[in-house]
This record gives sequence, C-alpha cells and structure tokens, in this order.
Amino acid sequence: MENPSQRTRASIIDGLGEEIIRIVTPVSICMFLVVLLVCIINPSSSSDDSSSITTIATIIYDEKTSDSDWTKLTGALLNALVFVAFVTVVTFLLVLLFYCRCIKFLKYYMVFSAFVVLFFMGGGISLFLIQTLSFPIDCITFGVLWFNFSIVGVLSFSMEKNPIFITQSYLVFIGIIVAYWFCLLPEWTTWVLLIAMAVYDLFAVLVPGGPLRLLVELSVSRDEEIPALLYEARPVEFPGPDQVNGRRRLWREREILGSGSDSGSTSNGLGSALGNLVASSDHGVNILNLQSHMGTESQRETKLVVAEETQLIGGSGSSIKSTLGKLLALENRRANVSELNLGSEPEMDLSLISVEDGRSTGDSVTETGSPTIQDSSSRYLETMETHVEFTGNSVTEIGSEESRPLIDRRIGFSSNRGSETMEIHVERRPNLTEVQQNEAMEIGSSRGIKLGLGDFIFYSVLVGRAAMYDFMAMYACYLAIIAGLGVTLMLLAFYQKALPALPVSILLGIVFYFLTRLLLEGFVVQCSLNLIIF
Amino acid sequence: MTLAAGVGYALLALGPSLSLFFTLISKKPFLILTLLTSSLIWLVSLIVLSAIWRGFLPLGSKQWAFGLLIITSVSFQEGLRLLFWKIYKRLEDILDAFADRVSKPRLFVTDKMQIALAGGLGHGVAHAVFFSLSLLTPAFGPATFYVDRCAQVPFFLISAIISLGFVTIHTFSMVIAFNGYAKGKKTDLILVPVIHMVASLVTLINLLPQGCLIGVPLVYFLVIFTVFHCGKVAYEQLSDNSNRLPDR
Repeated sequence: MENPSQRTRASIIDGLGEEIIRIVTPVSICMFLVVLLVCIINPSSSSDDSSSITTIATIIYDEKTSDSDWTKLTGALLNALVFVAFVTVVTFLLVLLFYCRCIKFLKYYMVFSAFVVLFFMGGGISLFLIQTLSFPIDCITFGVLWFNFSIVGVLSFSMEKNPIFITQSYLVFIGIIVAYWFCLLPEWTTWVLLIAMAVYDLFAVLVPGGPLRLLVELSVSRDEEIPALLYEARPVEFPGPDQVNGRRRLWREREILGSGSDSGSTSNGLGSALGNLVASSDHGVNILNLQSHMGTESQRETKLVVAEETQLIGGSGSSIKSTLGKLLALENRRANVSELNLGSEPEMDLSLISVEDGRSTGDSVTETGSPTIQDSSSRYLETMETHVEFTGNSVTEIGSEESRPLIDRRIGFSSNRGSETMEIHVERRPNLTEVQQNEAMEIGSSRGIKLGLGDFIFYSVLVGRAAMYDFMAMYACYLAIIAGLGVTLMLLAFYQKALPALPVSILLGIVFYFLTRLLLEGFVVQCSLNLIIF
Repeated sequence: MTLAAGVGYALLALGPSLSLFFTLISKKPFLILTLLTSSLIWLVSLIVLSAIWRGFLPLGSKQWAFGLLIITSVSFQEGLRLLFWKIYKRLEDILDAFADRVSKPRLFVTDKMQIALAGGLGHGVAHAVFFSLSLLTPAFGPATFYVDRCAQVPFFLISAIISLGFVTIHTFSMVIAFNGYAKGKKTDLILVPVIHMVASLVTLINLLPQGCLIGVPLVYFLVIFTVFHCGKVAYEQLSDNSNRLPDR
C-alpha cells in the first residue's frame, strides 16, 4: 500500500528513459565543449583566404569568401564528393581487411591513430588555447603532460580491463578534437559535407551492398567484434563489491540459461526473460521490457531471472528471489566455471549486465586507411566511427564482445515488441571459453546503447558551425539533434537492426538551422529589442 | 561587458531554472526527456509563428501591430499547451498500464506534478534561451548596449529580468494548467492563458518611452501571483491525496 508520506518508494518514472539519457549526456557534453572551444579559440572567420588546413575535404576547392555563391556551392559539392568517395574506399578496405582476418593490424592501426589524434591534433588545440588564454606554461611541462595524457588515452583503448569511465572520456575527447578541426573547414564545405555524410551513412548501412552493412553481417556471422571506436553508454559508477558479485552471477545465469535452452523456439518465455534481462540497464529497470517477460512467467518460472535493482523491486522481490535461487542452484550444478563467486544470495543488486564488455574491443578497435597525411588519419578515424550501429534496440554489436554480438541490448522502451524481439538472442554462445567468460564476468556491467564516434563528431560539427553563426541557431540545432537521436532510438526499437544514426539528426539539424537563421532570428530579435516578450 | 557580466546576465535569466533542474529534474531521466521535448515543442511553435510573421517585419513601433503579434502568438502557444496536455494524457495512460503490468505503483500525484513542472520548465528554458540568452554574445565583450526607450539599465539586464519573470510564469502555469485539465476546473483553465496574455500585453508598455519602469514591475506582480496560485494548487493536490490512498 503506498502511503503518500512514504516517498521512499521509487516510482516508475525514476528509471524510465535512462538509457537514452546515458547516451544523450555524453553527446551533449561533447557538443557543449566543442561550442566552448569554438567560441574561445574563434577559428577565424576573419581569415579570408586561408583555409588553413589542407585536408582531404578541401583538396579540390578551397573556399574563399570572395567567391560567388555558385562557385562556393559547386566547390563545396566537389569537396564533399571527394570526401565521401574517400571514406567509401577506406571503408571497403576495412571490410576487406576484416574479411581477411587482419584484426591485429586493424587494432594496431586504430590505436596508432588514436594516439595521433590525441597527441598532435589535441596538442594543436591546447596550444591554441594556451595562446588565446595567455596561460603561462613552459614547453617541457606541457610536452610531458600532454604526452602522458595521450598515452593514457591510447592505453585505454588498447587494454582490455580498464575503467569504462576513462574510455568513455577519452572517446569524448577524441570526438571533441576531431569535431573542432572539422569546424575549421570553410562554411559551405562543412554544410554540404554534413549532408553528404548523412546520405552516405544511410546508404552504407541500409543498402545491401553497403560497406557498413557488410561489416555488420561479417561480424555477426563470425561472432567477432569489429575493431572500432565506439562509445558505449554504460553506467559510469564503479560497482561496489556486492554489485560486482551480483553482476557476475547474473551473467553466469544468462550464460547458463542460454546454453541450457534447447532451441530458439523455447525462447519465448525464456528468451524474453533473457532478452529483458539483458537489456536492462544497471540502474534503471527497463520495466517496459520486463512486461513481456512477466507475461510468460508461468511457463518458465524456474528459469526466469528478473533483474531489477533492489531498490526498485520493492515487494516483487520475493518471487524473484525464489526464481533466482533456483537459478543459482542450477548454476551451481554446472561446474563449468570455477571462478564464479557465487556469493551469498540473491538479494543484492541484481543488475543486469551486459554480457560483453564492450571494451574488450580490446583487440578490436580499428582504423583503416593509410597514414599518409596527418589529417587524414583522423578521417580514417571517422570512417571507422561512422559505423554507427544501433542495432536491435541499441545494440551495436560492433566492437562488442566475445559474446553474441547481435542485440543483446535493449533499451527499455520498446513496450510491446516483447515477443518479437525476444527470440533473437536466445541461443547464447555456449562456446565461450572459460577465460572469456571470466573476463567478461569481471567486467560485466549493464549494457548500453552504442554510438559510433563519427556520430559524436558530426553532431558536434553541426552544432559548432551553428554556434559560429549565432547562439539561437546553436540551441535550435541542439534540440533538433537530440530529437533526431530520440527518433533514431525509437526506430531502433522498432526495427531491431543496425541503423544509421546520422541521417535523421543531421537532416533535422540542418532544417532547423536554416529555419532559425532565416525566420526565427529576425522575429525574435525584433521583439526582444523592443522588449516585447511573450 | 565582460565575461563576468555575460555570465551574470545568463544566470539571472536562468538561475532558478538551473537550480530546479539540478535538484529535481536531473535525477530522473524521464523528466529530462520531458524537458527536452517541451523545449522542442516550444521552439517549433516559435518557428511557426515567425514563419507567419516574417513577411510583416520589421514592424517599426506600431503598437497595434505588436499587440496583434502578441495576441496571435500567445493564442497559438496556449493552443499548443492543450496539445501538450493531450499527449501527456496518452502518455500517462501508457505509463499507468505499464506500471500495472509490472506490478509497480502507478504514477503518484507528485510524479504527475513533477512531469508538469518539467514540461513547464522546458518551455521556460526555451523562452529564456531564445529571447534573452541568444542575444548575449555582445555582452561578453568589452561594451554594452542600451535601448533608447529604457535607458536606465543595459538592454541585457532588462531582458534578462523580464525573461526571468516569464520563465517562472511558464514553469508554474504549466503545473496549474495540468492540474486544471485533470480536475476539469474551469477557473484554472481560463486563468493560465489569461495570465500569459496579460503578461505579454503588459510588455507592450515597454514600447512607450520609460515604459519599462512600469512594465517590468507589472510583469513581476503577475509572476508572484502565478507562483502563489501554483503553490495553492499544489497544496490542495497534496492535501487531497494525503487524506486518501492515492490511486490516481
């Protein structure tokens, strides 16, 4: 009985939408920092003739403000075409390398380009900052500090067991750095490039011959992770000791459930349980997922594992405990995994864990392309990163893990997709080696949405460019991008497969930018200056 | 005038909203989503309005023209509030059904009020950003700007102050409005658009020379009235519900 005075009860709105927020927050931080950088360093809109960087993107046409509109437009189109062609070639190269199983090469390349981006490009930005802010620091100190910073970043991508927060932060840094350098491109080129990349992304992911789609299919069929720089929105807090236990346990349960289930067809109840299980986030119960599972509870009682956080479980915990208890018993009997620390009993935080630890992209991150030009390495970075995969309801198996790539994650809000979504991953991989299992267990945490770094970059470029014009446009573009991201996530929940994250957001962002610039600004400035406010 | 002044103006317009955000809203992801959605809706309404009025700008200082502008804008926005309510109602049904299915408590009264507050805050923040903050770029530089008709204070300051008033009005009138829609109370339902309209029309006084000396305090009377009324409504809701088991 709820008593209004007892507000310690969590309500359902506490946890809903958490996954979305976990991806929206880093995207927002990235955008905000890029805008800040753009405002402080002020890449000169003043330099008329210099496109100070010669990059792939401006190789054909270097925009000068003195040119006519038509020249600028055609020049920008050429530039964008060249860039997209380049990215396509590089992506196909990546697919080829992946197909030939040169994973090590890809991984090393990715690590190398992460270092290049962090150290050289990031160093350039810091030097600009130091210059603009007149910050007193000598070069030796700066060199040492910056070098250390970059190396830590490199380590965070190449090692397997490091705190997810560090990896996430470094991914955001890389996104900021590359986005800032992109903002230095001339204006028309930037806009046309954004549109071109959005179209490219659409084709690459959805069209059957598209490189990204091939990549996804290859990785799924081989059960391997694609080496890539992907941002995974896992919860950032460090688990306490019992949380870790809980996670390990749950992971094992999942594993067992998976291998224990005979076929995909039995998955209905079980699968839904698993699917639901798998999908929830650490903290929020993705309750919407649990609903379908609840429905089939009767069939599969002994095996249902509902994971919720204890704080949310409240009263429904008892049945859960019993099922969990049975599950643990089941688990115990299968003494495959020796290290399972089975702890005491079920009532800890049964948080859902993601079976993979996405970062055991340890050996995956990749890069493609030839490191000829310094800038180009970042382009390569982006090409990799534009592999946005939002599969299923958010899984991007890319770069994920040793476990079943496709779709183990779900975000909570696909309310009634329950049954259809569930089947998908029940056939777990019983062939995980013990080592992998243990590793995954230790790092297990709940899953989140994976978003490619290229998306971060292009969103930030859009917002940064808008900020270079005006703050009103910037805020409008920000809202539009977040709305586009939300729409993409919804579509993801609906379609259950890899989706490109760029097109919707970029399109909305551009539309809002031009609407604001043409319509809104005159209107609001007029009213505001006359102090007419409504 | 300087970085400090620019930041000061920004905080003036957005300060209470920021504190509301950090204490109430940032803890619940759902509320953050509500805030973003209502900001977006408000932005879209503003774009539509500007599309309609763009052809007629610049308006000079014809008061009737501005009056017309305000009346149309406010009516449009209030209509949108109704739409927002309808969407919210549907969402509430979905959430409640969902909560039933997972045997969780349904939406509490405080939840609903928090959602309404987040919605209103979204409107308010969008308002502050577009009307006041976006114009602040020159304020970070070395100079400042005065409007002729209100030469006592810099333009940025007065616009921040007025925006603060409007942010508050938007935030709290959403709570009143949702409560009114839920209970079907006609007085509240009429009150909200009326307050909005009156507050906006009052800013017309700013068109007169030295008008802001009168206009701004009047806006603030309305703000205080809104806040108190919202407090009353909230108190009624809570005390109503503490006397019985909340199911709705």
